Amino acid sequence: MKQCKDLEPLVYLSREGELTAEEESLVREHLRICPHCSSIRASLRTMHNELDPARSVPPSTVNLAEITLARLNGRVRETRSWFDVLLDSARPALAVSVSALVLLLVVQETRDAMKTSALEERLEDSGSASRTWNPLWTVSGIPALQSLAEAQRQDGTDPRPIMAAIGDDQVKAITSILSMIVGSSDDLFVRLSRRYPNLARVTFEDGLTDQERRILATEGQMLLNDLQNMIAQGASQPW
Amino acid sequence: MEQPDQNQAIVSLLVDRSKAGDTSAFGALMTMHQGYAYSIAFRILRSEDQAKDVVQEAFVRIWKHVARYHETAKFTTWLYTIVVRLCYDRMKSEKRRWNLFAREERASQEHEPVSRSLESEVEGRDTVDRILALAKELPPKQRLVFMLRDLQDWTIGEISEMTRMSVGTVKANLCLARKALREAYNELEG
Repeated sequence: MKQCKDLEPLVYLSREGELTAEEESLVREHLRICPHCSSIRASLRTMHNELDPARSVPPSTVNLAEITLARLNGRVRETRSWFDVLLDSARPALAVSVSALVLLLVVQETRDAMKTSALEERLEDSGSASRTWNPLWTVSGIPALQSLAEAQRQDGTDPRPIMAAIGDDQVKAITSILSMIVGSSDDLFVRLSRRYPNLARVTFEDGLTDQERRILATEGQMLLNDLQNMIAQGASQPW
Repeated sequence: MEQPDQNQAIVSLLVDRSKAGDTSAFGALMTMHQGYAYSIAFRILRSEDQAKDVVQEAFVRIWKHVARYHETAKFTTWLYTIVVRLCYDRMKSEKRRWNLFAREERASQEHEPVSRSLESEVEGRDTVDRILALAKELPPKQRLVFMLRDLQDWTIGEISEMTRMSVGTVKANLCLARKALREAYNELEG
């Protein structure tokens, strides 16, 4: 025979249609001999009867269909409000403006990146064994040097320093050119560091950081321009 | 038997016109069903304001999705299912708020157990109110099943269809709800 704990869940399903015929007969048998479960059934019946007043529903004091309809119509009007109309008409212009802005930013970024990478390439091509930044690397491969050397060759002046600059030991040669221009190499570096205070911070340890790229794009480019101008104008002193 | 068939035909016609965007047809459809939808919501939530909100929300949902309605299911079943689901959602959020409140209360009144405050809350009310106040403390699933079965007399199968719970889950929740209510009620009655 089944125990109370097995049948108790079925005892709580006390109303018609809640149990199968088989379950009904099991529970009926059990209730005949179990006062505990019988009392559960009795109290459930009482509680169910107590709830009778709660089954009536006070009528709704408002016409819900009417209110909802007004809400729906309001929603339709809402979508045609001046703000929506304005937004709709402004949407294409807004889209074009945003696209143009994005395009502008992309172009700007690309130009900066190209400038920086061109500078990087030149720096990488310098071929120096040292990993510490040397601002003179920047000038290696400047076409102006080649033009100047060619011009000097045609003029009959001694092109050796210039040719040496384009030869094997570029850094040494360019330093010698610049030293010749400004007097002494020590003085040159003092002047260089004054004009390009951040350039010496750029190293090639683990690639270029964003900050290093920015320095190269500004002070590095300035150095390149200065050197080109200096060579073109015949050793004037931009520093 | 002619009346239900006629009603069904009217409902079909109104639904078709609603699908075409006819708000006045939809208004008529709402008028036909608002009373019963409200009574379902009220019996579950026991709050006039909440029941009104739920019925309006249900109608708005139906209007939004009426194009997806297919005649395979009865319109009323669809409507009542939405009403019941919305009531269930409300009960869940209410329960969450209550739990949060109860935690704050416990923190501020450490020496007063929650059951004691519930006891004082239901004290002095009618028996019906007491049972309903106790039912409000049930987990939302149990409360929903209890309200649908014992206050509205929906069959287990209908409740299963409306709540999308299996018949076994409906029975299990009903059993747990009645057991908890009976025990709490006996305790309060002393």
